[in-house]
Amino acid sequence: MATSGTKTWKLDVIELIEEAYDRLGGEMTTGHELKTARRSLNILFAEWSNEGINLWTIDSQTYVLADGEGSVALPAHCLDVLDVYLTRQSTDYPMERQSRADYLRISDKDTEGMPRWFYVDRQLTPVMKLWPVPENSSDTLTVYYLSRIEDANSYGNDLDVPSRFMPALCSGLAWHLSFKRPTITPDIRSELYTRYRAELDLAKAGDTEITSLFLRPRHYP
Amino acid sequence: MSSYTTLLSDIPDMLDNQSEELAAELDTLIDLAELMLSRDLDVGAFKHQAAGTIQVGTSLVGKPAGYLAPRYLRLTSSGQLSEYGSKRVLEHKTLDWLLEYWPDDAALDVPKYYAEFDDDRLIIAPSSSDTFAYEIGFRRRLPALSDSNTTNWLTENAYDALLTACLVNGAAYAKDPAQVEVWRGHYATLIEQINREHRRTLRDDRREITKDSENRGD
Repeated sequence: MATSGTKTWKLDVIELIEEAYDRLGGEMTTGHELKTARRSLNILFAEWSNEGINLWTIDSQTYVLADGEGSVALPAHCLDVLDVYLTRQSTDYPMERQSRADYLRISDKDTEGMPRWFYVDRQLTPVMKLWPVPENSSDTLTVYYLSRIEDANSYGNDLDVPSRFMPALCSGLAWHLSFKRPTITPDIRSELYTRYRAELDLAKAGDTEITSLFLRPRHYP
Repeated sequence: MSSYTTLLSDIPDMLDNQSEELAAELDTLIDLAELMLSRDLDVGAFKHQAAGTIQVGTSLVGKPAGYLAPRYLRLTSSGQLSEYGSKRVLEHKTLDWLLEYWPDDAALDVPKYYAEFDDDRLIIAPSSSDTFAYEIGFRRRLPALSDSNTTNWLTENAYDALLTACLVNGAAYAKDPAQVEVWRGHYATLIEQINREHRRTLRDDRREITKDSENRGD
């Protein structure tokens, strides 16, 4: 018999939840079980945001700077900034990140010039502080940032997670749901966690940029 | 041959009661007996199929006549089914599960689940995004016996249980508790025998399939 010829298999929210409950033994029967599973899934997404960089959640945005305006409001779903560069007359200039303490040590924060440093104030809606503050309204700032995973809302929606992470996602949700099933013993819960971590670590190991690493001493002439 | 007509004579004979009062109640006794058997027997005769069409935008599907409980519901044709292998078996869920899954019945997609909605209707989710032909398997009541329908599966295959059920109800009608107990005990034995026979048939069928598979080397 012929092979399927397709490589498009994916899980939507409801199928993921069903798979997770199947792993616990016994299908869900009530609407509450469905609702609480979706909540657990969104909590799991937040947990993954704390795990570090998920390459598929890196997003970018470009801002046109305004003369004398040293603050840039980042999207509310921005978790952290990874890389920033300033573009002036078609030339890109990488910028360096400062800590809060470094930024606070700057005595004249309103000094205008070509921005070289940035500090990310991680509020609920994060703000990026530039220094020196922009001296014109033509430079652009491109920000690469780590974004939240899209919410699981409608049960028929696809998941904002690549297929290589599906095993870990199923295991992780099953583990979260095990706390909501009083019949699940600590032993089984522990087994679920072990499998979840193994599958997540495996997926994360593959979620890297395959490039060579060069280490070079800085040369001071 | 056993039939509705033979029941009309066998019930008074077995109860040793040829009164006109009993004769006037015979149809009721037969109806009650059929009801008892439909609840107690677990045999293939109560399984039935029907077909229909679900229109675009529909979320409620009428139950077929005689419907007691669902066995399966599957979509059998639509252009939108091609990616699912041309037919799709819907999964049975509880109503509150289904309403949580698909809260907006105006949103359309290929149906995936179904649940009992009320006495007359099933609800599917998502609401139908196309016109689908469907087939429904269900447990049903057998066509009731009457002077215009004198035979059914019960008269042909379980006449002993049918008659005994009539006698349980007949003895109760005659206010004879001792006879009720006698016939009830006999009825329970017959029900167990018939259900056991059906289970054995299912087991034998499976064994035959297994043997065939072994012979083919599957």
